[in-house]
Amino acid sequence: MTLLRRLPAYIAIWAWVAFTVAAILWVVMSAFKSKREVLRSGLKPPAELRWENFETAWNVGRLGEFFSNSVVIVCLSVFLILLVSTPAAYVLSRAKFRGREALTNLFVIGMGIPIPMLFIPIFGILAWLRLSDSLTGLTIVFVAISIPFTVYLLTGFFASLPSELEAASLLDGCSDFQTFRYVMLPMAMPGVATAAILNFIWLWNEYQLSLVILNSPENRTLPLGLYSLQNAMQYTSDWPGLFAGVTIVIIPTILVYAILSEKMIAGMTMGAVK
Amino acid sequence: MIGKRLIGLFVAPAMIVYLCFFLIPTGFTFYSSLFEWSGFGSEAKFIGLGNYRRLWNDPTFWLSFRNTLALLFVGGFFVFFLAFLYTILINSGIWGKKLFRLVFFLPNVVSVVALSAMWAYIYNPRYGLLNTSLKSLGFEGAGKTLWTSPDNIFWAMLAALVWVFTGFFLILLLAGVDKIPADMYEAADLEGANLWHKFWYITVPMIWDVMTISFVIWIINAVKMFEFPFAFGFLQVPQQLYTLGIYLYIMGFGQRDPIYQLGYATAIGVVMLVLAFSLIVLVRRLMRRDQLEF
Amino acid sequence: MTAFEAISLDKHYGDFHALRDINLSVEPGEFIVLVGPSGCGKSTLMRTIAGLEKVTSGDLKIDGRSVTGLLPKERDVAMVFQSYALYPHMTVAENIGFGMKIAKRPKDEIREKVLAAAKVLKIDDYLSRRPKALSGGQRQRVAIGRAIVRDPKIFLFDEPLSNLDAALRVEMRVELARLHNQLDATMIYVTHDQVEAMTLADRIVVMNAGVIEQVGSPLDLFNHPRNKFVAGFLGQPPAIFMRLDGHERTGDGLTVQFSGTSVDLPAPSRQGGMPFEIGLRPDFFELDSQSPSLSPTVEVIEQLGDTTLLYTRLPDGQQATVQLAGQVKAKVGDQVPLRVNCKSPMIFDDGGENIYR
Repeated sequence: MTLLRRLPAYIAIWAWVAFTVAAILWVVMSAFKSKREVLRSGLKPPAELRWENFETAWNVGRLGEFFSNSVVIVCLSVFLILLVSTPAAYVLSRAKFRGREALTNLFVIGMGIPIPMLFIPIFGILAWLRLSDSLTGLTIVFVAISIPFTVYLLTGFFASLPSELEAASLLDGCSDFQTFRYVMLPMAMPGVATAAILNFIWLWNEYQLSLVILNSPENRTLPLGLYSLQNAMQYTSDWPGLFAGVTIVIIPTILVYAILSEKMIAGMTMGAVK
Repeated sequence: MIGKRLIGLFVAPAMIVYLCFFLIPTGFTFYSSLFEWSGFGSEAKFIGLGNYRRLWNDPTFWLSFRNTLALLFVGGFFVFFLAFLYTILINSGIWGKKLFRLVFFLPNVVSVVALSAMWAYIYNPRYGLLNTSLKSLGFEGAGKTLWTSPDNIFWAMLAALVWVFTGFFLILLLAGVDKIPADMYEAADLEGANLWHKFWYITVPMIWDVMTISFVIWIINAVKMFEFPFAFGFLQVPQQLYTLGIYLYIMGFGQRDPIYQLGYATAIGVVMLVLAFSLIVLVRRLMRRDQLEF
Repeated sequence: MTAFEAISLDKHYGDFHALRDINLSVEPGEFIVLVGPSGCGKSTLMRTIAGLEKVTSGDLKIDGRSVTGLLPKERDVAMVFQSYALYPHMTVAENIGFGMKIAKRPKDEIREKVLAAAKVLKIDDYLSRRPKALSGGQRQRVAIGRAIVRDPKIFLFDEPLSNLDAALRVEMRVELARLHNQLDATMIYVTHDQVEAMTLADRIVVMNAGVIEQVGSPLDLFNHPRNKFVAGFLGQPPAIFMRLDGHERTGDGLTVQFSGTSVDLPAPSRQGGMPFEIGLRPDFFELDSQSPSLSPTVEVIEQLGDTTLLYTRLPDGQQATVQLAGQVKAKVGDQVPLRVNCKSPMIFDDGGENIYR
């Protein structure tokens, strides 16, 4: 009875879920097909696993090089983001000083600034610093654009920690730095980890600023590499090669998501749902 | 109990990076929008509001502006309609809530370039998933639609965007709904409320703040929209897909051939910021009400 | 030498006057309990002693040394918090030894002291667990253990039992009393629970609206409250107050009239102002079917087994709570014949001060 009444809900939800899963699975499956097969076989699984499509994307499409570019730049950026944002968020949420709220708002306002606004001035500044078309320059920009959200997320996290623990650590003889290092930071680690995951996924997929800043092919990150592969595909019609590239790009984030989705979703929603 | 020295030491690094590579560049946009400036290294000429006057008479700008508004309102309508619908459905006591949540959000962790490649193939007129499915279901006529023709491409892109963002806002709304104490619904059941009553008189008022924040996030996302339509347009983004962000990029850097109208491009950036902030203020004003304690 | 001394302490939060002219001295080994309604300043006073709040003016001395400007860690005090404030990412042993680790004491010494404290508190089996795996009572013991290993000049307790359930609270209360005897340490204890105050304290400090109302031994405060506030705060069920209709000073005493009856009392201990109200504890009433002076009507009866509580109304409309020994047979609507026996008289003058103090 209740099952029957809920049937429409199940159908509506399963339709959406089936489409999403099928679309992504189909892309991954197509990566193993031959050019002809992709065009003819529709939703059928590949007749045989053609790993050579991945070889083409990895070597000819140079995704191998771009993959290591992406790994280095994203990991370095995430590390630096946390290095500067965690202490700032700690102070903004737990210290008492005049102008604290204004300073917090100044950080948070960055979340409302449309990124395309930065294209031209960032390009100019990096050119002036002789960092244009360099992974160093892109790393700095990645750190800068991630600070507002990260500070916002971590400020909320630190603010939720009980203040009696701070008092206890003071009585235990901690200096303000030791309180941060030994008590508050370890307690905020779940929040820091969430910030790391979210930033990893966003920066791994980021391509608008990469597009503006990077120019030479050897500097490309994965999304840029995939973008050029996609454009080249218009002439080669090598759909399986493109899908192999797509698979290479999406596997790391989907893996991270599959393992850590609970943490990610909790972090995503924490700021919005108080 | 946190000393002044530690405060300075802890805030300074983040502040310096943020100021130099985010806030000051943003401010610089306002300044440079007052200049005619055709390329880094070349001399900029002060023209006051000249760029804005040019924007006013630029049909391509208005096209991008209209597209951005269509994205914002038409896209927003469908995103929130679907997000609300699925929030209710997923929360109606069915099995597998966590799994569904996981799948709905999935497109948000995938690179937009990958998504656009996928959708390009779904929409492919001859071999694409959409048309082959339609044909196999017997819709021969609909199965021949050119989804990416100039007339359809914007709406095709928008449909794909709705698919991505519904999952994002579904997550936020669901999290808000999860915070509502279950006994509130039980009390309503005892008083004979139906699903719609419960949604309208309990869920909506209780997640009002989450809704406000969701709308604000959507505004920010829609106004700055660049990546998805840009990738969706492949090598040469057709004008039908222009958003303010894309037009800014084209005016600044060109597509195949450089254009380098830097002052003009930054004026578009200023329009984006003003649009985003005035809409945010408007939404916050419209949605303002007293805080609920529960 | 005094263990602790507060000299004309004042504390403002903006416009809010949290502490006004607090003067208090505590002898070594004393168990002092600060009580009062919420917002009375008792927790603020404790936090200023710990150094977690700065004082606006006045001086604090520990062992004769002024600590007013010192940091919490320099004051040689330990504190047990209401929420226990255990570090969730550390084991029990690490929690207890954290202060010593920060002070860079040798590892062996830390281990030894932690084990000794854990044995005293009977938590030595849980040393490698994390706080999450402990019950409320065990967490409380860990928090106390953390204080013990510091061997502080003063132990501060901030409502340490209020997060425990009723049964455990009684058990821990006895344990704390035992610990106090065993350690012979100076302890200052904040609570809003008057039973804890009465049972634990050598001396009680009753606070209200940032002011110390009265300091004294539990029975002294109970029997001779300085004013109406203290009289009403201590005692459960609380004392009731009735307006006097008249009073007469006789040769060796005072006769007061209220609610159609009169009571003879001994001579007031001090002059005071004009007698205005009488304070009656529930056990001041006794059954007297021979010559009752009051016959209030019963409205609610509570049978507690060893005593009976009657909530009654007098003919003039005033309410009286009556506690009678044993199991009294009475029904709602009955008139119970009573007499008044003021075991320790409380007569308040027009300024609210007790003239029998």
